[in-house]
Amino acid sequence: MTTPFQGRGAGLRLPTKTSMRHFTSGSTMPKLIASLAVLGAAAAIAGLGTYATFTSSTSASHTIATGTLSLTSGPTNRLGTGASLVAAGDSMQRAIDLNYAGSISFGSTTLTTSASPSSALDTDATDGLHVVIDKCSVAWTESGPPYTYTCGGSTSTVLASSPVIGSNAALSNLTLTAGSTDHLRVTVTLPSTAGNSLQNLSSTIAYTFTGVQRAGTNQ
Amino acid sequence: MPLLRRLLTSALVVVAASALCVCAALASARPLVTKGHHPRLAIVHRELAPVIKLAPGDSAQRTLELRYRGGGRFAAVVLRVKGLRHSLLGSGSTALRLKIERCSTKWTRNRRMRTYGCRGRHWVVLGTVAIGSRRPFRLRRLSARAGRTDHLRLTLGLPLRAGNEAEHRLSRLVYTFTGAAR
Repeated sequence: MTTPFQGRGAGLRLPTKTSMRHFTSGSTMPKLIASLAVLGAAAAIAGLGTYATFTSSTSASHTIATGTLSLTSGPTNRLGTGASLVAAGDSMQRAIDLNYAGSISFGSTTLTTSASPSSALDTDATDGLHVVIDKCSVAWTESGPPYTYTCGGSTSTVLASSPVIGSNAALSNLTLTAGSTDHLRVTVTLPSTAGNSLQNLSSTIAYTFTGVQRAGTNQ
Repeated sequence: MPLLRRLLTSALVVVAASALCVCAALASARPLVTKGHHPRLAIVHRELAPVIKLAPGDSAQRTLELRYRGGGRFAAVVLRVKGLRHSLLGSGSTALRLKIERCSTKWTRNRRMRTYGCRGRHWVVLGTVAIGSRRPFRLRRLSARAGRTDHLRLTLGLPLRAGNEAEHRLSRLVYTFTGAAR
């Protein structure tokens, strides 16, 4: 006969089993988590599949090239030829070809001159040297030296008479079209009003032609 | 008994996971199988006219027809422009600019002005952007619906501040349009 106490007594072994159950229960947790992870991963894959993006592409192409802007001189260029023993009232003529050699046309061209060495010949804006530039529709016909030029076509004024030293003087009546050439004649004059103070002086003048591209356009 | 229960649970998990995977596979494979039910992009004339002798301040207009085939519509269309990554025309202040507009009818060419005009409704699809980077540009106000055609005008421009360093440069631009169904 088992007394209740004994029964309880026998039941006293239960805690041992309970502790074993607890141990067993502890090893189930990782498996449960692993199972949940598997289910979660599968659900994620399913979700990605459901929201997969379908795309389509097509393309077009073309080449794009920028042009060039080039201002050169020649073949005629007598600007490097100096003049000596110049007296008041004298003038010197020199020819230069200006080429618009790039693939882009110009919008404008300016002239900047400087002197080094310098003297009153170029610093005296009233009685010092003055410059005039003309253009001929064909190449100038040269004679000399001393050089003089005549035009077999039509002439136009590129720069009206102005002191020989200037900065960014605007030149007009130029062709400016890519691939074309302007035939210019530069005439430098010592005015007849030049006094004795301008005797026995020397200046070297540098001419710089600067061109700017045409305005933007549709290509 | 606990072992049997655990086995059953594991089997249930495996079956559920497999079922989900099969569903996923079917869901993602469906567009590929039924291709005709989804929109596809196409450009009829893929070779655009070249742009030459471009100078700072210049612009060049080109048109293309973006067609949507198949079925349905795109939720988004983006544009990627390649070809300028290592070019001076794609960097800094000298980078080429691009603007895209859409016309409800075909663009009308003005041969003298070398431009294209719109006689129908007009939308800006992409505002002026520098196209030096490879980042995609989201295009807006496209019809993006299968069976339709969007008449697009591309306007390329070289900024006025581009200096002499931008002279004599050559690049091949590739415009890639990508549509996402959803």
